[in-house]
Amino acid sequence: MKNNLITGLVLSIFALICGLFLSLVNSFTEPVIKERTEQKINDSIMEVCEIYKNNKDTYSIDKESITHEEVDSVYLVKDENGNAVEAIYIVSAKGYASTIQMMISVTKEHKIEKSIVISSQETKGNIKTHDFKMDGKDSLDSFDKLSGSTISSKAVRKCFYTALDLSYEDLK
Amino acid sequence: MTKKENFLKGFINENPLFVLLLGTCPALAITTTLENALGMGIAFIFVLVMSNTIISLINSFKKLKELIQPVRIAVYIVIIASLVTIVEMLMQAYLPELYNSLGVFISLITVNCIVLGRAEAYASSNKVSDSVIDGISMGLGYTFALIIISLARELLGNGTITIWGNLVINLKGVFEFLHITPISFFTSSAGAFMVLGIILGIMQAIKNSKEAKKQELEKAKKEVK
Amino acid sequence: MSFNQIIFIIFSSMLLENVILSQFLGICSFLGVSKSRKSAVGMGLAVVAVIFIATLVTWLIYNYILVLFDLVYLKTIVFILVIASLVQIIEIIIKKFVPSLYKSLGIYLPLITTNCAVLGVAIKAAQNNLSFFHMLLYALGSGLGFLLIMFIFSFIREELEKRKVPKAMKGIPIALVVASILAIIFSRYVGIVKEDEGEKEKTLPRTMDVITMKNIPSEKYFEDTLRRMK
Repeated sequence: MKNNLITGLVLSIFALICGLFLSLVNSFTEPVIKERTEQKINDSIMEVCEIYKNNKDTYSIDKESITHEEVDSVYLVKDENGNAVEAIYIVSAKGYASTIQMMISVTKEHKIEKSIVISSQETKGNIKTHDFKMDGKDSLDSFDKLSGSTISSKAVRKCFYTALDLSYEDLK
Repeated sequence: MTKKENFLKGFINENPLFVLLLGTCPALAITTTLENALGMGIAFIFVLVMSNTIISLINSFKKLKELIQPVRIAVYIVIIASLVTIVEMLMQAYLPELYNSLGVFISLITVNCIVLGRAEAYASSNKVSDSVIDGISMGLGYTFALIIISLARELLGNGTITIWGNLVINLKGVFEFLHITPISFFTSSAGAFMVLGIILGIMQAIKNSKEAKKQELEKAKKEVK
Repeated sequence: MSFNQIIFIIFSSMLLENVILSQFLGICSFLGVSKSRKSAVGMGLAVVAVIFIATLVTWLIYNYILVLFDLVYLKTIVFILVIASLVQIIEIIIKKFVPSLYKSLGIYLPLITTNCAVLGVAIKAAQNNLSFFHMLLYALGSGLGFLLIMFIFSFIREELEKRKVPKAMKGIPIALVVASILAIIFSRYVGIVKEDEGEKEKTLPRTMDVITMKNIPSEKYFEDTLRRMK
């Protein structure tokens, strides 16, 4: 019994040392990871929103004013007078065993301007070849080419519908 | 065994994947591009070398060795798992693209039989310097095997070779010139099994022919005598 | 969760996204233990039990301890310790209460700790934020998929041993080629289950969408939205 206790103690001491060491490494890497994600989101906003990219001085991005349950986050692009001219949604499409996150920008006319995939747990071969660019509602059917991924075209399509739907609330 | 022999054994004679058949899961799953294979190889070498070093260090103290004897496998697993987590965190911070494409298989280095096998079979009973060389040798041998599989799969399946990031050698022109299209079968899961099977078959054929030659030589020697 | 969805999750994790053939988890034991039918089934049954229990326990730990205390980065180390001790506990329990079962399964239990299928399924279930029931079904389906492939494959390998095979391909190489053919067959099981009955939309190869998203408007609402847009 005493021996068992000692071995158990040894094991837990080892686990504790490893855990402490990991938390040390984590304290270094966590801010970097956070910064990277923020950077990526900023870059993605540049990519999906043409107006903001071209006139950074006149337009501003409102990050926190609106939240919806259906989407991960909402960014509003506002002009000088504070009127929202475009909404950018981060939506995730859940598949059978993986998730992809997409950024979708919707214009004031309630048309989808552009969309990109910002993160995916899909294997590279599956998702990279698919082009999620689309200009208007006509190309909503173009997602039928998502073969090989565990995310169905339906899940992706739902994301677009959600974004379009919410834009009626956000962009008045 | 000299240091040089110790270093070279991982490539051909004791190659962990082709000869010992260990660590087959990531070798089949992530070898769709050369970039993945290289990334996995680097992560793997780091974990293997570090775990070999730490474990042989622990075992070089006699008291500590006796103390952990009953739970040594669990202790090894804890050490390996924390090393893997460190690699995972560093990769997520500095190589996020690679981290995404390797996915769950970085965490699964923990249960890769090669790491635990080397810890138990070699590092626990050898000197630190020898264990480090053993780790580098086995790691490089495994990476070498991954590179061969991924080259075959990516080239035949996609017609490209992705070295790192945007550095891609595009050989689709050659395929067009030969009037054939890349066969996407090779990048699918079924193709992975097929490629590994054929490579192992080739290895076995080479081994067989070598042995046959050896036997003939011995026979000839006997006849001369 | 409707009956249809339950069937769908189990079948897709068992056949379409098979642990061995499509996700490449547990290949080591797949190649090592599938030589004889008896040991293959023994190993398969042990894996089914361990995957199910381990995924359940690790899911609970992940969602109710690690996430709450912001210790997600410790998941690999915690999961592997949980799995190792679970295997030990199961071994002791079986040994004490069902000695006959221990005789046939006992030797495979220690091997399971380093079977990547167990850790892989546990990590996937935790990382993808599956709901409780979804996780249970996913774990069950994955384990059954493992058992099924081990069973089929052991038959084929027993038969292969008797046949004439080129000398170079004997043993593992030919087994891998057979596994490749099996993988082709299993990736074509599309359409055996459909998510929703009467779904008009085209279902594509390997398209799966199990989790119903919250607050998705009905089909009619989409039509209205589209009309509004016009």
